[in-house]
Amino acid sequence: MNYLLSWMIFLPLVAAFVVGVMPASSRQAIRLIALGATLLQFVLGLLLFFGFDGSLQPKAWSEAFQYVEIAPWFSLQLGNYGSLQVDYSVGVDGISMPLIVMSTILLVIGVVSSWKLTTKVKGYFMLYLILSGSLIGCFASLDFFLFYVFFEFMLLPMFFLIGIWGGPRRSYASIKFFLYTLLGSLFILIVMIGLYLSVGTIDGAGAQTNTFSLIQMMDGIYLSNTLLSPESGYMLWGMPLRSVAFILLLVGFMIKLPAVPFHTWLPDAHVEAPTAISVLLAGVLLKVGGYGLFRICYAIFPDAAISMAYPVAMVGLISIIYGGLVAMAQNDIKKLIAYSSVSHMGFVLLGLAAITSEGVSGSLFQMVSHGFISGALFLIVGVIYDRTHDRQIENLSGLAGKMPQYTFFVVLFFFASLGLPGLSGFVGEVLVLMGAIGTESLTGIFPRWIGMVAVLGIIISAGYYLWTLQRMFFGKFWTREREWESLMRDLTIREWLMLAPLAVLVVLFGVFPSLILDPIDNSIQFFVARVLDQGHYFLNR
Amino acid sequence: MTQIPLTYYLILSAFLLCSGLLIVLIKKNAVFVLIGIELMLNAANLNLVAFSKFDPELNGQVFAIFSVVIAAAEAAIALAILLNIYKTYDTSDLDDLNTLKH
Amino acid sequence: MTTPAIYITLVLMFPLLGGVITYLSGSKNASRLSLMGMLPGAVIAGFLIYQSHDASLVVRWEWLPGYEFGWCIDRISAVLIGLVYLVSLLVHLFSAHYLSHDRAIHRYFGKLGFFTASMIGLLAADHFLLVFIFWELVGFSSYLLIGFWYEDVEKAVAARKAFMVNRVADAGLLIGVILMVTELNQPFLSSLVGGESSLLVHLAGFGLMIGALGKSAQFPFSGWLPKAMAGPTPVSALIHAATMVAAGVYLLIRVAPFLSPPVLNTTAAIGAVTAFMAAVSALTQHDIKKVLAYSTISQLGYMVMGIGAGAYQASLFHLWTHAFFKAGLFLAAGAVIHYLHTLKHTDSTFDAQDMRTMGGLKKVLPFTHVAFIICGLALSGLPLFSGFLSKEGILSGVWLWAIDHSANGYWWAYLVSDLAFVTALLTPIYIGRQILLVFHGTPRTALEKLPHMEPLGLVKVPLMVLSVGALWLVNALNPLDAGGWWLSSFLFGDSAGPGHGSIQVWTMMLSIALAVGGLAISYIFYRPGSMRSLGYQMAMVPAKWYRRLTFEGWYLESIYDGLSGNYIKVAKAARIFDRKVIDWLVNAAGVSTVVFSKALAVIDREVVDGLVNFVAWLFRGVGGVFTKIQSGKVQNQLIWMVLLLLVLVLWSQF
Repeated sequence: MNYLLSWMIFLPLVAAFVVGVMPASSRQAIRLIALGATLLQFVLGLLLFFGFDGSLQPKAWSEAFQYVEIAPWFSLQLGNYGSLQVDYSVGVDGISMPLIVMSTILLVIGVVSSWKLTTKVKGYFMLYLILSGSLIGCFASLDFFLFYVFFEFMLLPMFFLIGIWGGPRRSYASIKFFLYTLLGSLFILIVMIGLYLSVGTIDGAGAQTNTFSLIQMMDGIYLSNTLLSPESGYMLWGMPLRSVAFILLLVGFMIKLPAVPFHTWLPDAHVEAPTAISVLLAGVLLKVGGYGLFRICYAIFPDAAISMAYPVAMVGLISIIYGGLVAMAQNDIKKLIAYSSVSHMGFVLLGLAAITSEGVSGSLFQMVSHGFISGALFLIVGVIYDRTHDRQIENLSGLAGKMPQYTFFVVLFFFASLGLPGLSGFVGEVLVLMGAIGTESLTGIFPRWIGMVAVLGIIISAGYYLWTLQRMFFGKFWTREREWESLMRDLTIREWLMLAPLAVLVVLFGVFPSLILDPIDNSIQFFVARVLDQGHYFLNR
Repeated sequence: MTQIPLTYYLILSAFLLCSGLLIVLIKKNAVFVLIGIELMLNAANLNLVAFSKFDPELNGQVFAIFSVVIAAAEAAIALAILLNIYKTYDTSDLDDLNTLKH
Repeated sequence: MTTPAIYITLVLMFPLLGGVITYLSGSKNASRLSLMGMLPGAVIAGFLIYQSHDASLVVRWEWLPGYEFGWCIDRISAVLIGLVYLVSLLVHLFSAHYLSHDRAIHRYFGKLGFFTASMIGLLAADHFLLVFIFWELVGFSSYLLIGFWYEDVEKAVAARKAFMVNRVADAGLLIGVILMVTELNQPFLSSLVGGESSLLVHLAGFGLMIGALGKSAQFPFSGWLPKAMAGPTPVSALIHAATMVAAGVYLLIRVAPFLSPPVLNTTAAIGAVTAFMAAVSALTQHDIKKVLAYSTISQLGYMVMGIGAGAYQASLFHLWTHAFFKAGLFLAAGAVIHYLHTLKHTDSTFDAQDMRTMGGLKKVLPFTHVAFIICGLALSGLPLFSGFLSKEGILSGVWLWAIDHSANGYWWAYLVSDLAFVTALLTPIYIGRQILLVFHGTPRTALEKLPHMEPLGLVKVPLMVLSVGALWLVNALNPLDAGGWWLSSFLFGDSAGPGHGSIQVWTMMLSIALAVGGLAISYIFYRPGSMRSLGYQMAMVPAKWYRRLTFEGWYLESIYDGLSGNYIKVAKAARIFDRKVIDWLVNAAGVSTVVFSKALAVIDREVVDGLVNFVAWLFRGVGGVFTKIQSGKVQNQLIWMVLLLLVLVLWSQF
């Protein structure tokens, strides 16, 4: 047994505690501790990546996980209701592994990006470290209760990080963010309780133990004739109860993802959050929503996933098109990027809805690549904002001549985001589109015109990025305020340190996508086969 | 000799009791109140004695004497307390001694 | 790595590495360093042609799990890679002179190297997704090069528009590619099977066709190519005349065996319409490069039409000859522009690309003049020049196709071949006009101000190579035999395609007559000393609607602008919808929750809490009464005692 995942989860929490007992005046030491902790976390992430066994071909979810740790956390005797069992159980498979590794990279970069922060450094890094621990915990949990705890635990530091270190409308943004995601969590909580009541074991003496084990839920081992067991056939408002539960979960995670029409918290939160937090928000937090869809929505409710594929794909399509259109009309570059995230997360939804191996692996790849790209894009905005404290596109022009290195990165990441082949954004999008177009003949769950219309997304995203490039970076050098002219210096070493690794990754994964896709391929195949088999099996009950 | 009927005794005794009670209730000075109490005790004694006149065993008289003794003791203790109160609070006015209220 | 894989890697990486090294090493030695990448690459490309004679070089590998990718260099690819190397090498040479004064020359060569590598990748790719990847990369490098002088807003806008139009077409291509890969299970170009007829096959075919039309600037996407002239002229020669725009034609040639009849017919019709429209537009342009741009569109229209008509061998031949003479024309135009550009130092409003400022340049640029005439005559399709041979093949192929198709009930098939012949008349007119207006007549600028500067060797060598390539002899022995291309049997084996037989004599006669007639017409109108030639300096943007229509290129750009303007309006509406409706709903939900909770708070305070308070008030009131009793005065308590006693006594009495 190997405690790698626990180390990754609790190391930052310990570091947060250490920062907590340090005097607030020793800022440099606090920064170094935060950097050290995240770097160590990153090294552990690398160990996880290289130690991950991609050749595993599971037959059931109970065999699918690696680095598994299970320890009883607490249990309660509930008299007639049997007993309640909550485990501390963590583990990774090919779906969570790349997301964890990606998060550790972005967490290091986030620390570097907040290096110059001077207000309330101690509190900031404490919250930051708590956030980083719970993020990993969320991706690694194999117990619904544990997942939910980490899921909620992320909100708190995020709320304060936006609400204290944010921009002028930070309190509005942070409260909106908090309440909106909390609303989503409530939906998830409802289903969690429903599942808890339906999943468990009965021992020889007839004593019933209910559990929150995700593995058991994914494997579909239900107590007979319980609320959410597939054969019981309870209905609510004319729908099978399982479908209702699926919709609740879907809405809960779609708020986090976010998908249209639940996306409006995102632009506000992004615009007000400090750069490093925007990076994490777009790069990692949104992925928690996507991950939840994979791990909980689709794996536990495959029957509903099949019967609801059409509407889910439609939501994905609408997010792609609508997010892109709204991004086109933004004047604030940070808002533009926020809306482009909505558009790109639509691809995640669309690919997952297809339930083909192309679609699902594309969806996962899109999450990883969007993590890097959107993180880099927010860093790029941060570069401008650090210098001018302004983000309006029309207030600057012709930066290319003055800041050639910066422009190089901007062009690279803009084109990565609009899906230029050779950069990672393309791989995810094209796989998703292949899945969405191919699903009609493979699974028949939704027609191929949805995928074909989604291709429009690549035109739309090209539109707003190129327009922004032309307006801000080309033409004669000009700034709205005269004093900005002297501020427009090219990238510093610190900024290079943040952008260059991401650029390398984006190119690397664009040229060699199999670096990610090969190790996780078996997991994806298993996921797809399992969802389809079990889904049809449940539907026929 | 004509006997004085019991009623007369009782009326006198009642009068004394009422006077005593009135003094106890009305007078502000603790000394007067004590006097009132003595008056009421004596009214009771008078009752006892009066009833014992019609009782061959004289138990009433014995009890009255007993009562007089206790009254004396009581008066002594009460006066001592009163003296102490006066020393402590520098007053013997009952209205000023309202610490029980709180 | 297998041997073919090594070859392919080398042939791809040399230009790329050359470009990267040039870019990183700065502007000082840029031109020399860039050649260091190109020359060994060109040698390997030559070797590849030799290799491909025996067998195609095939490389397969797994790029994505479950998707086998592949390169395949067969004879066609090898020859075209050689062509790209040749033109690219010449353009590198020419650019070294053309951009010698530009501070960003290292950036230029970096981008050029990147483009060359992508273009070769496109030609070597076998898997459809790989084709799409390099397809996008050439588009991207074209974007970078059009916007090379990004400080000029107009050029940056032109780059964006060119990329956007391409992107729209690429969406079609992507759909086609995905359908080919996932649904039809024909992922490799080298092993396409046609003949099926289902909705999916038609859809995939139309998708591929739209992509090809976009890249080859065919109607309705043709508007981007004149815009792309904002880039440096050598770039126009390489990318927007010889290689990248031909990629659409190349793709169509590759997928032609797969395409279904409706797609092929559409292709032929669009090619003919484009060829005609662009030739008409070229008639009235004032910008020296725009004439050539419209001419390129028109010639690409020929090739596309040829493919649609089944004469794809002839189309490939035309691609080959066109690459030489059009690159030659552009480079010669570049020499003219570079020569006149020095005037811009004294007069900043001077436009070095405007033909109204030219005229009589043959005296100062004799070498360029000769090269331009050779390439121009090849373009106009005069016998003894390469253009005649290849255009002849297409024309007779189209005519045969028209005869065949009209017999099958496609009444409009003759329209296609008629348009092709009309275009064959228009082509010599506009190129003759250009030759006469640029090089002949009286100079319209004070040329004596300029130093006598015949182009350097760097310019002469490329022009010479390209003009020689535009002569018949290097292409075929017989100057009148369209099927006599000496690469023909190498590329296609024995099937030389249609274009033989008695019909060929008639088309040949007709096209010779059209070429000569067109040149004659242009001479009549624009000969030195004619009214038009003398008054050309004062020529304005034409006023008559039909001239205006051609001058504006059928208003395609305005249509694009109108569409994108509407698109931005839609986007703005979406933003307003997002703010005013969706976000309003969210905020309204928030606000109404607050209002509701405020109301609840009132109820809570007044009703629920009020009840509690009332009880408390009640007890306090009652308690208040009793506290009065407990005054702490002994006598008061005694009074109560007595009263109570009395009550008790009285109560016990009654």
